[in-house]
Amino acid sequence: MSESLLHVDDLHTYLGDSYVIQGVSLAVPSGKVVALLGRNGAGKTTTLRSIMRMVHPRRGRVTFDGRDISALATFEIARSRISFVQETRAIFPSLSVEENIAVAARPAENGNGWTMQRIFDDFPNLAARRRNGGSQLSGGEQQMLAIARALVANPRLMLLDEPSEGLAPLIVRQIADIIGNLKRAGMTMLLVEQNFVLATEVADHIVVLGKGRVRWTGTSEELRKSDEIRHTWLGV
Amino acid sequence: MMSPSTSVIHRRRPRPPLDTTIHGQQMLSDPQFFAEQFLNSLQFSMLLFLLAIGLSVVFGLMDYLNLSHGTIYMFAAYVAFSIAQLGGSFWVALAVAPVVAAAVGVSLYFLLLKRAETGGHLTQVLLTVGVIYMGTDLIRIVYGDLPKGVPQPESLSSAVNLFGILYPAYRLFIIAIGLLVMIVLYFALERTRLGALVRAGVDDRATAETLGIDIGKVFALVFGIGTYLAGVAGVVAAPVFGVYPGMDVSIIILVLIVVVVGGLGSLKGVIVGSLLIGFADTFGKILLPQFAMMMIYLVMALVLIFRPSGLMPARRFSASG
Ligand SMILES: Nc1ncnc2c1ncn2[C@@H]1O[C@H](COP(=O)(O)OP(=O)(O)O)[C@@H](O)[C@H]1O
Ligand SMILES: [Mg+2]
Repeated sequence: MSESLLHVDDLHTYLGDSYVIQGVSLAVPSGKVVALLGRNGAGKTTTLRSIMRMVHPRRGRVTFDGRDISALATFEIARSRISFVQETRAIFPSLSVEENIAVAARPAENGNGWTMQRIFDDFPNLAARRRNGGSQLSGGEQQMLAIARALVANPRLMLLDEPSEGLAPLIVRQIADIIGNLKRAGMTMLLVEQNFVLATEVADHIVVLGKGRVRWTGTSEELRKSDEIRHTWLGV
Repeated sequence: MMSPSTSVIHRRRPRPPLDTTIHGQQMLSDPQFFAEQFLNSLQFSMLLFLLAIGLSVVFGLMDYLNLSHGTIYMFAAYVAFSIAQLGGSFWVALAVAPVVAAAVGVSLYFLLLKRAETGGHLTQVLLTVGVIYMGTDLIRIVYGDLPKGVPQPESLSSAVNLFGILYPAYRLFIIAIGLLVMIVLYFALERTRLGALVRAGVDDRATAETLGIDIGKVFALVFGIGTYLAGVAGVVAAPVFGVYPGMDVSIIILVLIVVVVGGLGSLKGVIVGSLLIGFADTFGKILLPQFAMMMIYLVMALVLIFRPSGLMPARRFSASG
């Protein structure tokens, strides 16, 4: 596991008085997709927010590419090339589609990464709405924009929080295709999902979270076979 | 300690109605008088605007309620007074004082006010009201209690014939500065990268930071611009209203009302709020001299009953969830 791009080591996070993350450890190897699964309220979002230091863990260490990032500010963590697609999508309503992408753009080090132009080539429905306000998009378009905004920063790791949540089946399919394509292109991802099929289809490795702790880890294949884990911790 | 200054608050309208025995309603039917008051309202609105924009954007971006914003306005006005005393022209004061004010404002923020960033509004109010008291006392120690005049620039001391109405050129100049700043800020906010970063920060600061935007740096820049404009307001207001300890308090209350009525964190909101309060204040004083301030509170109450987050608030997106 030492070649892993992201290491989360014994993370403990409180939200107010409630002890939400109770010692979570996980690793995301370079070029792999790790799915973080668990029921509503298990602590998946808080884990991702802790990695980004949007909430401050009381204990624990996060290393990225061998470097300890647990004391950095959120914007510095992002600049170390981690992109976070939030559950709420968090599109800026006062910014146009184009501006939403522009404020996040961070050129690739090697010069041939994602640019605004490449985003619009690959996401034609966003291109058609480039001048629209962020508040005028459908749920699916918002999710596409959130992913586009994450990509244009040319991340080495993407944290995706329930990208398929609340979307129509057709759009969920598109999102799954995007994630599949990114994986084939070698993107490292930590994916939180409630959509069991989507998650197990794309993930190399699965971490099941329950009540703030890691309850199980394994492969998609193993999880499909383990009725007990699925019933107890996922409810599927 | 504010009491000696309260008597001078009413000096804010240095041109009393020509004949105070006539009722306001009758005066308003005189087109010459009406036009003049209309321009006075506009001019006062512009001053409110110059002050309110900094307060509003700082609140929108950092959720920081900085009541000492007016202290910077007063400080700049006194710097302008000192420059005049030393024989410098108004234009020198206009070039220098806002820069000095911005430098002092930004230093004050990073040395002191920043400590209350995470303390909530009550802490911020307590701290910045403390700064107001200290600022007023410092001004008293250095300049004394008495109001002082600052000369208008020579070139603008005449009256201009505006469609048959004679109106002081200097006041038109204030209106022009206000309009110019509005236009520049509009383009800066809507058409530049920094503007997009500011809007992103106002919409959702936490998300902006997850995209690698250093909101602290954006904020420092915005705070500098805001205090600079408060300084501009102080310099241009000085020849009209004079300078006196407590001039900050008398205006900051109106500025707060502008921000609340307009809606926090939005340029359009500040423009609309400034015009509304500038006109309500000016015409309130003519129509109901005894109840002018009540008129302002009435406007605020009415707006807040029907639009609790102000007339044109920045669109916010909840980041939690
Ligand atoms: N602001 C908060 N204060 C206290 N508890 C919270 C807060 N936000 C979320 N929680 C609780 O933290 C737990 C984990 O939430 P979350 O990480 O959002 O779960 P998930 O993303 O797995 O659905 C939940 O039980 C939730 O009720
Ligand atoms: Mg969640």
